[in-house]
Amino acid sequence: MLDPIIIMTVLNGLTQAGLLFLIASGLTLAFGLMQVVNLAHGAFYLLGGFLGYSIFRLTSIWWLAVIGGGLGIALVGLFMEKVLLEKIRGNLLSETLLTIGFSTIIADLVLFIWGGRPLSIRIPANLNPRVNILGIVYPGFRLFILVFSIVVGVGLWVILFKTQLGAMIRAGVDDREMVAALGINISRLFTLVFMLSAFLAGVAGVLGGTYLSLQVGTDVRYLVLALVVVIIGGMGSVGGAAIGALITGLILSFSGAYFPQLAFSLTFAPMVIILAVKPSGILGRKII
Amino acid sequence: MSINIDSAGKKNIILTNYDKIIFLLIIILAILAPFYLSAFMLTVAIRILYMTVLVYSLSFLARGGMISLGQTIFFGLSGYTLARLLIIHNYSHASALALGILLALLGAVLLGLIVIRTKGVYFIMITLALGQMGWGIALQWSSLTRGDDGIIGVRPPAILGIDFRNRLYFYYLMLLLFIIIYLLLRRINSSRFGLALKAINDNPEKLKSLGYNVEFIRYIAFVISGFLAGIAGIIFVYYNGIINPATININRAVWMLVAAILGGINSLVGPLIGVASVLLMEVQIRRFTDRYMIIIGTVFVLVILFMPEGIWGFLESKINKLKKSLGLTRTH
Repeated sequence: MLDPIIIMTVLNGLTQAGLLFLIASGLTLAFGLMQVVNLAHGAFYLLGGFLGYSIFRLTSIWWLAVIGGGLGIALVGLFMEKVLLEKIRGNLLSETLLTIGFSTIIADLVLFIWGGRPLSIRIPANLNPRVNILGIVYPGFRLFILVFSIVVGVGLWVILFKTQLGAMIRAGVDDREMVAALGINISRLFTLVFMLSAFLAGVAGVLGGTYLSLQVGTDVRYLVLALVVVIIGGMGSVGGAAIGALITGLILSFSGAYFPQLAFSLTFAPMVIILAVKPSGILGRKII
Repeated sequence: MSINIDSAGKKNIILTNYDKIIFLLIIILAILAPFYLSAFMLTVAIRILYMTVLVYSLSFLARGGMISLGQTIFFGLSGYTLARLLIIHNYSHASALALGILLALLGAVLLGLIVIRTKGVYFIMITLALGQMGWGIALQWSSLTRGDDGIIGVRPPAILGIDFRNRLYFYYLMLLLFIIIYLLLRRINSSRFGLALKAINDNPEKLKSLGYNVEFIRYIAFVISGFLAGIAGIIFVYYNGIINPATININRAVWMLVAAILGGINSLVGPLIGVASVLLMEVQIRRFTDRYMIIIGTVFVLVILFMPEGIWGFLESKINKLKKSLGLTRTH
């Protein structure tokens, strides 16, 4: 018989991993194509969550909050990509710095609109049955997050490997100039992928805001965790993001249970090891 | 990349007589500052000086193409060491201070081994992650750091009968320290090492083929930058009397970046102007609202879009044009 605490910790780790994957997959996807690390990705998560919170307060329809949070952030992403990033395209460091500035603005705006107190979205009862697993009762909503992230993962895989759009994205990741030379509108492809990435961050924000809570500061926490995930997995690789999310989620959960004083810091251990051994990450190809 | 270094550095290696006069004038103005500044503005001046030292730790690295969001680690290492040794272990000022800087140096020596394996955007990500790790330790390892509250109650010492709790004396000490660091950095920047560091950013392959050990130069630069941030940490704790996790959070790292880029990252004057602009902006906006980061963030985005060399880079090109038309530049 397994120790129930261990089972609980593993399940919590998997749930965390699911949420981390949702955030990190968008980050890594945009990076793979555009070579820009969107350091506003955490702010996207936070703002998406708060948008979802307000939509839920108004309508009490949880799914509407998820979709609304995602679409709202997709629009923010559209603005950022079309109006700001495109102006300095090709200057990677400037683009990255710009995302930091944008992130600061969003975080302060959130503080202005929703205040600094932690808020959370009420868990919809029909998604939160009590589930019996290996002798312990586990909140169903956490399992729902896990299932949801797996569905998103499969969906991303289908888009990337079974559709023409996916073929274009993959080709763009491999060789941007060649794709442009073939007459594909790379600029539109960038916008599309960036919006998809932002959409995922917004959706993750609503899920995270339902499972945990939202507060200014959460944005940085999840940005950094997502960075750790994609560094471990390899920048640009969605599969790598899944592996990285699993590792990071489990470490987060186990260190939280057994070494609470070092919980957050221990999460960085695999990243440091990866950097020392294979700086491009587990599934990453080359480091630029 | 345009944010970074242009050829302005080369023009500045030789101080022309004209530049020397300007430099002296500024120093005289700074020495006289307590006579024309209000008590409040004098405290702002102190903050400008030590924050510029902190921002130098960032801009110095940026010369070599490394943009760091992790300088808060070394700032925190020295600050926490100083505060803990003084308040909890009753060390003398001299040994607490020395150990604080030593620990910051040691931190840079160790973390440098990891971070120099990465470049460009990766470097930003890694340093951001490490900086957050430092923050996490400060917050969660409360038996060491006293958690959220931080360590409180550090007061500057009296040396040779001069009590540095007096803001006026503190200002002069800070000014002296600043001038020393400024001249030292100026020296380093124009040395063979400093020029090689800048060349790494322009063309690492060429430098490698000339026989330079690029990795080693980047590593040494990282250690120096850790040292600078360490010094800033000591001054910060002495001045504010407190260090807590909020002191070294992401906002501080971003703040440094904003100040550096706003002022101009290519020179030593740029960061000073950047820090002064941001702090003065903050002081003004804070009278109306606490949400000043929205405005500062917006200014930052606009600078990146429209004035990538920063305020000083922009002014410098105008000044150089003016100098040329007045026949003040030496050609070499």
